Amino acid sequence: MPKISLKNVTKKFEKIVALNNLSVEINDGEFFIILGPSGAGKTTFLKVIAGLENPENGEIYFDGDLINNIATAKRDVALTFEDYSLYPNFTVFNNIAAPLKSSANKNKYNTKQIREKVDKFTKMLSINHLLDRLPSELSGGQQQRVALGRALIKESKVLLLDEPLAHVDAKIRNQLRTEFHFLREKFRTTTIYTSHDYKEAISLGDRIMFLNKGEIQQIGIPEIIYNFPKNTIVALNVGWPEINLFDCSVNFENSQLYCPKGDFVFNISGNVLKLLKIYGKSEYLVGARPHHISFSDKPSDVYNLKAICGTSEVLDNQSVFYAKIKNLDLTILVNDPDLSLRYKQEVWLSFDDQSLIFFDKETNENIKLKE
Amino acid sequence: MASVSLKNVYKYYWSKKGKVEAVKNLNLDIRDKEIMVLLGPSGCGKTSTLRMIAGIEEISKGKLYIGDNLSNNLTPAQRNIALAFEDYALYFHLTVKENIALCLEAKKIDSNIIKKRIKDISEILGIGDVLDLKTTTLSGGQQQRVSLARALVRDPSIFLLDEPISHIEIEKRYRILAEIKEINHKFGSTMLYVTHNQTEAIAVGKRIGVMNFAELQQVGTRDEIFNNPINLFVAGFVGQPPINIMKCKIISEEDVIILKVENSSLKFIPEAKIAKELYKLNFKEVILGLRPQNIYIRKVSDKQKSIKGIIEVKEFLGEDMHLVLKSGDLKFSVYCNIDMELKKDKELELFYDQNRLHLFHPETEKVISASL
Amino acid sequence: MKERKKIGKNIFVNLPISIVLILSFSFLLFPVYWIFTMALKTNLDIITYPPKFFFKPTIKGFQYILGLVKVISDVGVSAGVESWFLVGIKNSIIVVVSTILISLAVGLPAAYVLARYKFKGKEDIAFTILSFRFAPPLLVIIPLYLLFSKIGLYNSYISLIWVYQLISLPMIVWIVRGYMEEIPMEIEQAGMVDGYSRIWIFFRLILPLAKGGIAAATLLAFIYCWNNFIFGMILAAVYVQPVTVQAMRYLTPDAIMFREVAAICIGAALPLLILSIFLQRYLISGLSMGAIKR
Repeated sequence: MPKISLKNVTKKFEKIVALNNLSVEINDGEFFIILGPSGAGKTTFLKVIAGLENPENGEIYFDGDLINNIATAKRDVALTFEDYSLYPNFTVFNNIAAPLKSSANKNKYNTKQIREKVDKFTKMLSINHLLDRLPSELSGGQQQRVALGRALIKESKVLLLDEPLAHVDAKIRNQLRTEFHFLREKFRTTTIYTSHDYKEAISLGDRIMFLNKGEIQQIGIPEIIYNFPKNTIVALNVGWPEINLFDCSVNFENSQLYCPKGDFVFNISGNVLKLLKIYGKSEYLVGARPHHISFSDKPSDVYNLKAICGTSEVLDNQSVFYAKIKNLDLTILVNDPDLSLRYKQEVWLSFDDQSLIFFDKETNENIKLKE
Repeated sequence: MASVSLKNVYKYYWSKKGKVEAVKNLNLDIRDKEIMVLLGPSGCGKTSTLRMIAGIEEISKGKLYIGDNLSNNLTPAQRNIALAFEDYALYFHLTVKENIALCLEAKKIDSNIIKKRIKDISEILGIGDVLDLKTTTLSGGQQQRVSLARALVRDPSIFLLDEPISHIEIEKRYRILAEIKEINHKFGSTMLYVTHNQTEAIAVGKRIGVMNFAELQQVGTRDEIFNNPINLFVAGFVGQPPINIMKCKIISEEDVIILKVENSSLKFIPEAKIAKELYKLNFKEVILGLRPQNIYIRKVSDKQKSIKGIIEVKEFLGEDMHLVLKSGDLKFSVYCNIDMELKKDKELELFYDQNRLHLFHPETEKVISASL
Repeated sequence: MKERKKIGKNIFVNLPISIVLILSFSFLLFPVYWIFTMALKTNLDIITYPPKFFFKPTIKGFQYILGLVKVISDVGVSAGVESWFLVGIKNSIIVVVSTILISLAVGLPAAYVLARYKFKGKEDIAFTILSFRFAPPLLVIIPLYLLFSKIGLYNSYISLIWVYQLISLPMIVWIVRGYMEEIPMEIEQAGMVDGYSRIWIFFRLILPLAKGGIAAATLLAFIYCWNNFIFGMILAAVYVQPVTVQAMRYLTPDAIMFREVAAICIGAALPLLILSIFLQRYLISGLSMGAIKR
């Protein structure tokens, strides 16, 4: 299971730079996730590793061997495409067996062995009752599993999965995401999995690389990416609802933060105050995650920031409501699905100051990671 | 705005295989000014119901009342309904404003009134700044909003929406639902919203009607359906992650009725009044449902009972966590707050409230509740 | 009671539609019907006016063109000496089938290249191939005749097969190219990842997926080649000419044998009909491939 390295890889499509001078190392046997919005370059990244696209610049190494000039068929990688790309004129059986019968693998497997392997993988993916069907006769979730079967059966050293859950119904997506955990245990290949859904990324990944417009924003373990996003782009894309961002200035004498848009102050203390003193600046872009803001329908010492409620949404297990302090719009996530706040009702908010994230106003970078 | 009432409504049609019942004995009341959601898997009859209320499909048997009027034989225009579908059907050669104003002009309403209505509605729906653009230049989300505005501006008695947000970009979906609710709040429009997605249903509707196999299973608020499901289907269909379903044998240990889960060491203790009911019914087996949200990793009250399991999968999801635990052959889900201490293969003690156990008849799958 | 109303509604809507359809089809198919009856009438019936719709059929026409019966006229045996029909059919089959096979062998890879690759002058080449269809055959027929005579190809199958490429090749290249463009690149990439060569991908993935287009193009090309008259008439003589030209055999100095000409028309159309029925299956299946959800 190789270590994969990319050094200074650039890939352009006419004028668009899909990958901009990327360098990254993926460890042996790692489940590595590439997270980013659409157009970030995730699919291009996978295709470059597979050899389906050739970079203008840069080198790709598997375990230290340069593979830029090795043809796709000889690289021993498996790839699932975002729209599955099953062979429409082959049955499920033949789709999954296809990699075993190709010229690259000719004579390695006889018919009996192929049959056994297909049985093994289709049972594991719960699709062994669909072997004689054509792809057009399958549901989205079933097609996805066939695509997975076709990729896994090769037992190749590198597994590349391109947004495997993007087009699956929400209910099934959650189930499949959990199932991926089980599959991961079985196959300790070096796996690169792309997604635009941060929940998939932080649930499944050993490490996550956040890619935006062809550039790496941050690489780290899930807890770090979520709790210590390197910059505002990462912070906005990881977490739902979107993190609240607003400008504040620090008053070191009173240990308070003042937000001009909402015209309010609140106290800061402890480690957060220390951090700001060390960093030294007095103006910051503050990030407050929606579930780190709490509210009460009565004012008190703690809940002292008056806000007016806007609309609210009830979700499966939580509620989200939008509130406004003067000119500042905030989104708040509450763990109670039975919230009943009326439009234009007054509530009093409180920020959990220790969980605030501070970004340098010039660089948009998280000051905590500067240490 | 009006209420809608369906009394003993049936819908049949004939296919090669004989008579097909699309809707069976439906009794449903949609109150004036409420948003009612019809939720169910595809083919359950929800779309047929919507089309019967709209008047684009005939009612095979039964009565439909809009307000106090028996409306079976009224045309859609006479019923004064507005429809919003998955495909928006906007007039491509007209601008947004013209699309919205078209039918009002046809009714010869005063142009000042038209202007004001368009202004109010486009404010709520956030399309005020695209009024003069041609509809083809808009995104899916905006087109759907224009379609909603066009339907609304006619001041219909009832607003029928059939899966209106399925073609809208995922990021914008919940905003539009919030706006639909806002429209209902501001204009008091009675709405029927049809969907197969339970997250959408919960987000938009006050009351939800769950349908399956042509029959209405249960009508209630999210709370009622979540905490008091009337049968196994409703319990399993609503709720993300889905409810844990376990087959249990009813045994008694020291005079207490215990539910022992098959192929596992898990044992659950039902409430006394339910236990009495089980004893009366003399069952040997029962189906148990317990929601992942109702299993806790920390004890909250003394009344809670406990079970044990080994963590097989731990999913860190940012704002919350999802665990899959194993006990014997049984796997079950727990949904909880973040706790970074939990690791795979750790044995965990979990807690539940007895009143959150849902017991279902092993054959009819109906809920077993204490008889009064 | 409601059901009865529905059926009633249906009849009222269906009846006018049915009448319009029947009238349209009658109008369009009438010439075919008339020629078919002509092939079964006696010469007298054919030329009487007002036209006769009811008549006593005879199969003499078909017997003549198949060479089963000889026609003896005042000046001796003048027709039915040989079966011009069978000679024509044999020539048509040899020429058109060969043409199509060559067009497919050359045109399918060309369509693939035009669909997939980017290179300078690609659209120019594609347009040039299409432009062959623009030139009226009459324009080129004299020069072609002179050229082929000079190189000794007059009255040979090769000359016809070669010239017929002008008809069939553009059709196959352009129609199949469109179908191949519709096949997502990702399917080929999946094949490459699985370890297959491009040749395998071409034969086992691209061609089966373009089946509908290939069937449609083949059928159209076949029909146009089969029906061609002018090339066969000028560039070949009796024993090489296709069945379209052989029909002229029955416009003799003695008499215009309408019935026999009609019989050859029917006979010449038959292979096309059979081919269409055979290829129809592929035309329909070509349109229902659904492995890539959109």
